[in-house]
Amino acid sequence: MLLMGLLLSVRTEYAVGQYLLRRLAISIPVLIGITLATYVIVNLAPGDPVTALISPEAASSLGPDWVAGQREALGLNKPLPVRYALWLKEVVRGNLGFSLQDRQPIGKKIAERIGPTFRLMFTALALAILIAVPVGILSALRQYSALDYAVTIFAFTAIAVPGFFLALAAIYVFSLKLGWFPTSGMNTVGKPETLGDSLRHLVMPATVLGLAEAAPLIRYIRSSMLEVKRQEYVTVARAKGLRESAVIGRHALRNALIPLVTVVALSLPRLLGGTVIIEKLFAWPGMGTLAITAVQGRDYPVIMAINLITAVLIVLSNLLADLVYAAIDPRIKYT
Amino acid sequence: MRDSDDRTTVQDTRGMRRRHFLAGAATVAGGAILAACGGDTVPTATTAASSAGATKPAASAATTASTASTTTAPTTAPAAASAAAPTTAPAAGAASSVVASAAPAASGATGGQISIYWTKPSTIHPLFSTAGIEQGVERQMFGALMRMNDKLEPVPDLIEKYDSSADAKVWTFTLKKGLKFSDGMPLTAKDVVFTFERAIDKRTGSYWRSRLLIIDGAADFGDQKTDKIKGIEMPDDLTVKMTLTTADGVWLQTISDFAGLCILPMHILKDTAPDQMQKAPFSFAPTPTAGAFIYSDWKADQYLEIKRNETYTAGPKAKLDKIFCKVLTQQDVGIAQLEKGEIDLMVVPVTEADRLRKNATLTVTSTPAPSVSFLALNIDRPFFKDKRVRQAMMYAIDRESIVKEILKGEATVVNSTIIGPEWMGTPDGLQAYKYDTSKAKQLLKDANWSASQKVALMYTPGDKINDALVPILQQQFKDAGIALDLFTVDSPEYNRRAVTGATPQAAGDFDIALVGGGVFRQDPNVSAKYFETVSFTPAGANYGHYTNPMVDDLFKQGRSTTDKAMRKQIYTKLAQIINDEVPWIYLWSPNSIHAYNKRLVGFKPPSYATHLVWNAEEWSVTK
Repeated sequence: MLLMGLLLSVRTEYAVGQYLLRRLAISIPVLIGITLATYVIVNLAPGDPVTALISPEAASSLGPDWVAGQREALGLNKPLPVRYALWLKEVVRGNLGFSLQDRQPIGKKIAERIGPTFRLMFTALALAILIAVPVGILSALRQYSALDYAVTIFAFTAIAVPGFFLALAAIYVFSLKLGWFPTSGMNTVGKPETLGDSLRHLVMPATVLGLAEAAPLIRYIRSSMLEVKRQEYVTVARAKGLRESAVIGRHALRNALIPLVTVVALSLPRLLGGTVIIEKLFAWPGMGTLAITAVQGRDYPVIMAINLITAVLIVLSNLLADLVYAAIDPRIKYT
Repeated sequence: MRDSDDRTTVQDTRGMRRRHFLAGAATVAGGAILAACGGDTVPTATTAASSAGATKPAASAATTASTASTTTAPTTAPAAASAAAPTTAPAAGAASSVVASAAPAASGATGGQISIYWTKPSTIHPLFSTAGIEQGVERQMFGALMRMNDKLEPVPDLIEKYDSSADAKVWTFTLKKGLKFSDGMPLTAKDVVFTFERAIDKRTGSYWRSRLLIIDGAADFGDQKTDKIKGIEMPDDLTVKMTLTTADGVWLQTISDFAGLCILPMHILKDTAPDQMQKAPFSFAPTPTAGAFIYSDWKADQYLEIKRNETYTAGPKAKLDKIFCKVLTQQDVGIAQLEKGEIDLMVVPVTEADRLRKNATLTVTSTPAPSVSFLALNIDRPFFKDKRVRQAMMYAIDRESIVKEILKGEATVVNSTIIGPEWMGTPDGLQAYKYDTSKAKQLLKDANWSASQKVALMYTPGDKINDALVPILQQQFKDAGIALDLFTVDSPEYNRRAVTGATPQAAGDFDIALVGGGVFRQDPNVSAKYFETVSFTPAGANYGHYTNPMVDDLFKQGRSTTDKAMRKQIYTKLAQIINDEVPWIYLWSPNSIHAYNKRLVGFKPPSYATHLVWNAEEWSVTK
């Protein structure tokens, strides 16, 4: 403690490192708690990977011996605490294990799918920010105008309409009726991969997802801007005789966008976990598809791996949000 | 979600059955093509393999194939000499010898590619695949001793001929000459033996193991008590002789099940320990193989790409350059892609059939599926013990209207599970159980059914037909005086409750289960697996643990003879009993609907709906 205090007083740069270390140290028990809870819950789900793999018809031709043999081979006969301990031991060594469904290494499975998820999610997020920032600010500056109402109605509609409906409607209209875009997939199979083809496949899922993400962002930005607009320093800036564009652009906007950091940072883990429904409807080979098939197949190690990754991402992005916050807002200090 | 038809299995049909071998190839002048042989006269001759030249579409109906004069003369084939003379043999206890080769040569130009609807594979390794949709593709890639044709009959694939001993205990398979894996290494009897050894080895954990244990010495080998399977011998490089522990008239069906037991390349896999096989990279990149198509690329959750095997010698080379099996977990997505021309072929739900028929780019076929949809009743439950209750449930359901309205007429109402094959037909003397609520009420009254008795119907939601069906069942049962609760579970839990959680003493944990499956049209004996006492779950598919000594005895009789007339009599009687006893509520046998783009030429509906590519070597594309 004494040393820490000493370091803190000597060099302020250490403050960030110190803060980071402490936050990371706190997150370890949190992560263990999360994995333990998930492990218990996924194992409480009725049925097991063996019954998930085969139909009643198949089970009845294979006989009870096969089922018992598979359970043994998959290690399902061991008591739950033992299985959790074994899993944890391997994870600490950096081994996420093998899928119970196809016996492939989970690290490889995730590596194959994180790319497509990144591609979709970052496009959607960028789109969301590009839409939300100007629209939210305009909406706040012209509060109670026709534009403001229109934006509000749009935002609430986009929040209220489920993504799967938007997705299906988009496929029906833009793909089947108008024929502008392919219905689903990431590339046209059987043709060499080109940028144009990839983009055409990306448009619909990214837009559907981007709109859904943009809607709450618009609301955040609007209310944040409204709040900032009434701050004394904005009044002061105006009183100084600054042009309105400078008042808004230089003084209000910067402060209004601070909450955006938190919102965006906290949406990262959710986006990287993949959105099951959008990925499924657009046959997108990403993390969401992996997650849903793992749950349906009671593929415990895969569920655990995805869960762990999401948990780590949540911890990290919270941390990131706090760090960025402190960096851009001098009122915030590491404590 | 995979439908249960994906994984139906064909084993346990122990009776001799009609074999229907197609002589695909043309013969030299005057060469007779004998197409079909009954189970009572053991199958006989067919013709030489012709690897090129013949122009008949493959596996066309026997009638067209027999017009040999219209086909061009084949190139000389090694088997010609031995193939000519049919060996007719009396029914019981006769040796059979068949030289067969479906050596089709469809018309259509070489080239082009096709995309088909596929679901997420759990593996592309034939020893571990559990879904029909995977197995069909694997057979195209690997080749098998025997494969299944579109009439549920086993036909030779990699073999030139097989023989069986008089007592159907010893089976000899002779491989075609000059078979090669795609890396140029020869495929010999050694590879066949290796495949059987790995399949039987307990450590491998193969799906095939339990069905191959009938081979003499397989159990000991599987448990590592011996280092060779006693019942499998290799007289020479092309011949494999299998000795079974008991006579098995349906051995060919067994090894052609799951689309056929695929032959693995020993030179590649011999150093992979049995318990490492499923984990090995081969499982998702199987190469080399010896089928008409070979592995080309696998993109996780996107597609499996297979391409024409240029070194294929077991038959004419495939015409298509490539087939893409697109991983689409969502049926709606598949239909949209089909309409847009992004995929060329898929199994579609009956609810979509009419709409897709209007699409000018598509052809829609409807073929009776071998399966039956039914409500399995748990006879262990005291309230189902009275036969009159079960009969009342049959009367309570308006099956005709449901088929018409929900299944759009794409199904046939059935009153027992004895529904085929052709020689069997639908038995006479069955109660039709026409919709009659008052009769149902009367029967329930006679049986002292308590109005407060609740029964639960277990099903897996998410299937459009089932989701529409269950509320109607609930209402119609209510009209008759039966309070039905709907109980939804997902498939792992469904399987546990219905089958794997059962013990020989007690049926699974359900009252009524909505089930669809089975290959009942293959042989009447298929029903044995569902009604015999020895087939209680979890060892068989007798879900409700129905037991009746008379039924057991009739099934046994039906297996002990190959005389069709006699078998028909036996199974008719059996059908009458299970029709009257109602161990299940029989619903209907659905049709399989396939929709494909008109640019695909040569597609024929498979016997299992999901074996889409079963004759893909004959496919071509227009333009």
